[in-house]
Amino acid sequence: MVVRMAMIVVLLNVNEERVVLDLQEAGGKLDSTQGEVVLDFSSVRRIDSSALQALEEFARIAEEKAVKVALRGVSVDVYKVLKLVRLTRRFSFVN
Amino acid sequence: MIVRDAVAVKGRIQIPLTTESLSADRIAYLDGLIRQARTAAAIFTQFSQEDVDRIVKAMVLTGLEQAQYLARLAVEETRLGVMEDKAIKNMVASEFVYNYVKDKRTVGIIREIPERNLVEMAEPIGVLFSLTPVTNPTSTVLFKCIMAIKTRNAVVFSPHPKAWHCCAEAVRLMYETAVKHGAPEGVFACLESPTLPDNAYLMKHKDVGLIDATGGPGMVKAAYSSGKPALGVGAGNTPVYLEKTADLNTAVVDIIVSKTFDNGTICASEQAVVIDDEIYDDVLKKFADLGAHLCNEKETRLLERTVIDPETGFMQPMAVGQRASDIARFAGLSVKPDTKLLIAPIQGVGREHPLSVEKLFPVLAVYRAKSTAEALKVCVDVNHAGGLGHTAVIFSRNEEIIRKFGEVINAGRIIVNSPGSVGALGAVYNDLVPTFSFGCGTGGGNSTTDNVNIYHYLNIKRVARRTQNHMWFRVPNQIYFNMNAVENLGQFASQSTIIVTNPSLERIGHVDIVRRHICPKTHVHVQVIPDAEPEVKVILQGVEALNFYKADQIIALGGGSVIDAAKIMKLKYESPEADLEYLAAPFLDLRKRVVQYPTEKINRARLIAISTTSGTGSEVTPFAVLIDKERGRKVTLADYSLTPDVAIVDPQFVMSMPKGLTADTGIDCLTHALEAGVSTFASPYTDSSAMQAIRLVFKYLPIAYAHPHDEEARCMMHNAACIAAMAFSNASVGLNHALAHAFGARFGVAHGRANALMLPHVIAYNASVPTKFMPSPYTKGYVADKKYATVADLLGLGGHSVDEKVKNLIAASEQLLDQLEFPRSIAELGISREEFERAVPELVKIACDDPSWRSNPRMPLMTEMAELLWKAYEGRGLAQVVGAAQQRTE
Repeated sequence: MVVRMAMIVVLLNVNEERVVLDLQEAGGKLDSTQGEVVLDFSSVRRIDSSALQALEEFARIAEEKAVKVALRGVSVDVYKVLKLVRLTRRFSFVN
Repeated sequence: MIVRDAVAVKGRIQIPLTTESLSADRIAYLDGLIRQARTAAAIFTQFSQEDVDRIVKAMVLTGLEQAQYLARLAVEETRLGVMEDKAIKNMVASEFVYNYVKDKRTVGIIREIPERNLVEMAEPIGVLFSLTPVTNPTSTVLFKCIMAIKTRNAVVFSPHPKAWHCCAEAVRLMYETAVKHGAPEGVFACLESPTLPDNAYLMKHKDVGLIDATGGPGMVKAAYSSGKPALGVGAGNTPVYLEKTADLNTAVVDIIVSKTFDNGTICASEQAVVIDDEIYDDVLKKFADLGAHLCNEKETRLLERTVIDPETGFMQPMAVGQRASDIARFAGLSVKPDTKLLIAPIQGVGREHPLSVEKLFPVLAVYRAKSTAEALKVCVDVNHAGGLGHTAVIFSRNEEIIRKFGEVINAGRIIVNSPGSVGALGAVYNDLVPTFSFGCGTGGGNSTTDNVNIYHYLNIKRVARRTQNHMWFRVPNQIYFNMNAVENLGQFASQSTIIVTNPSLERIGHVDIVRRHICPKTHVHVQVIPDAEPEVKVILQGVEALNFYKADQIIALGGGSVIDAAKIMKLKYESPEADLEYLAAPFLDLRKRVVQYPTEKINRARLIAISTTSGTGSEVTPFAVLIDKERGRKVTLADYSLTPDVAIVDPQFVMSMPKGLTADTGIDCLTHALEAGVSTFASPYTDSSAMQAIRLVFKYLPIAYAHPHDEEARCMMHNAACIAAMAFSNASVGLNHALAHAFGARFGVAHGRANALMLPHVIAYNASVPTKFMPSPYTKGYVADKKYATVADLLGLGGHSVDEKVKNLIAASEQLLDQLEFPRSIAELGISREEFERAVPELVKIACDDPSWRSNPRMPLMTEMAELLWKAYEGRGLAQVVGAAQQRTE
């Protein structure tokens, strides 16, 4: 018999104008009871170094709390940046 | 003033590629710099052309504003060169480089080449590790920073330790300006207290994309040895040929300008001037008049000992970038205080002539040459004494000598009638690309001879769209067909005509028919040749006759062999130098073939081909086969220049064809059409011919075979052969022919019969999913099975799916072969299994060498060729067991 564990999925929007703040805020609220957090990057067309740092920090916190992080709607340009800095391996991606 | 500590300016030291002495903290520091640069480079990928152009412009303005300041810092720190000149270098590195790069696209699409269906796109490199020299420190930094931003790369700099402060300041100024205008943070970094182990570590760092090493040979070699892509540019030894026709006033001033510029620190500056004897004294006087000191023999020896290291034979670092008067004082020479240049005569090049090497200070060697030849040789010697690939200079008005100089000197930059150093930098005296890194090619151990520029900082991606190459449909100008078409011969005026034919046709009266229709008053000679594939001897006899009778018209009356012979006779008659062996060289694509047929002709003769069989279609093809008995081989010639000018397809000449020949040639015709139909070179033009020929063969061949006197059937089969030949003349044939050629030749089986034995098996094979696809730019997807299905539809064979239709076509082909009473297996020919088994490996080898299969839709493997031969051996029943559907479901 297969027992399905209840998984809480939290969806958070990331605004291009305030990527760092949104990620910091979301990081602060991360809870190990959350099974998965989905960060919606649909509105983010360009990413800078502070945003990358914030994303890396968010990934660290999530890993500590065993929360999976999925990025949704990442544009291919931003995806390439994440690829070049080897951050893609720390997230899953959904369209 | 003399710098007394030994600066390894052009250090011939071996840079140890070892990182053992690095502490964990140092490694963490270095990793941190690279990580920061990697992040910056990643973010940079999102920038547009407008973004980078805006930043570049701001950086250039900063470079111009800070040119004097950075020059002063450089001179104070390095104690090399001239402040004013370094300021100019900084300005060139900013303004001139900007002028070159400002309108260049370096983001996204950078070039479109519509005529080649190509688009070039830029991909940044990422992180560059850049070494900068002590001789041109800040200008090199400015140059590299501007190039890096223009190309969206990040750079970690490792300046020469003796120029670290000024370089670090230049990097800081560029970085702050760049970031202020939007560049990613971390885009530039300058190593604190760089060491050789640091360089070794960074050269091998996994995140460094390219090493850009501007410096001495040791550092360049280390960069190239690191295993990373590298731009390494290095030492030179610039020879100058001052030739007697030169404008001497310009030449002398230019050399002084160049050799004294920044006290000679630019590695492209003049090192040895080779002067023609006739102008030598005049030139030296002009140098002296303009402030150069001419050393006598004793002074030359003193100078050599001072500025050249006797142990290594290379320049003393302490002399680099110093003023002439200071060097003279240090050497113990008495010169005027404002002496610009020390000129020392040399008698040769090499270790025994110490001043013949590179000297990055205002000491110039001069050589008196007795002749142009001697001058050029000495320049070559200087070029090979440490200056390969770098720079050379010539002053001359003699274009021939300038060209010769360019030919014999190996230098990335050959500067004509202008200064070497400033000339090589580009954009000042010429249109070379402005640079501060001179590629020295393989002669200098470098990967490029270019003036290093933005394009070396980019990965250039070529987006290549599928190109629809032009195709062709080439057939004779005039084709006359149907009964009595031979009457058209009368319209072709001729003084002297040769009829090439064979004995049997002469015997049955065909030659007389032809004779009757030739234009009146034409002198006619009949050249009878054996009824077999033509030999070289036969061709030469024919050419002799053509020459003897001064023929202006050749009428080939016969089957394929006669027409082929006439084609080759015409070729040799018109172009006697044509080497048949050479012209038979293999080729893959007609448009790209290596061997070209002769276009110069000493004679002209019209070739009219009248076919007397309904199979080969040689009357319209560009092919001819020749037997070279001496060498024991067959020579196949293929070129559209061989195509007859006129083809006459008159069925009266085939009415008496025996049944066996009717069947053999008819199936040869069918095979031509089927193979052309599925060929990788098939086109709508060849398809139309191929399909029509197939339809005619299926309808009329059984009638022509069963009722040889049926005029309509004979006529249509004669037309079918010609039409099929038009198809395969332009689309070629395929594997069926390759196998049949090999098998037929080995076992003495007629060509058409050999084709028939292979035909159903090859159709089934080509209709299946290929083990290996044939590259085919002209088709979209694999279409052979669908084209066979189209044939089946055309023949009204029925079937719903492609597979069914293919099966029906195979069955119809087998039925046709049965109607023609063909042996349906090789075994039926009386060839034993053992004998065939022994022959198969050789047959496969011969078939592999046959060019016919190169246009087959499916790439035949050798094992598959052997299988097909065995299927032909076993024979009938194929349609029941083989089919595309069966293979697809496996």
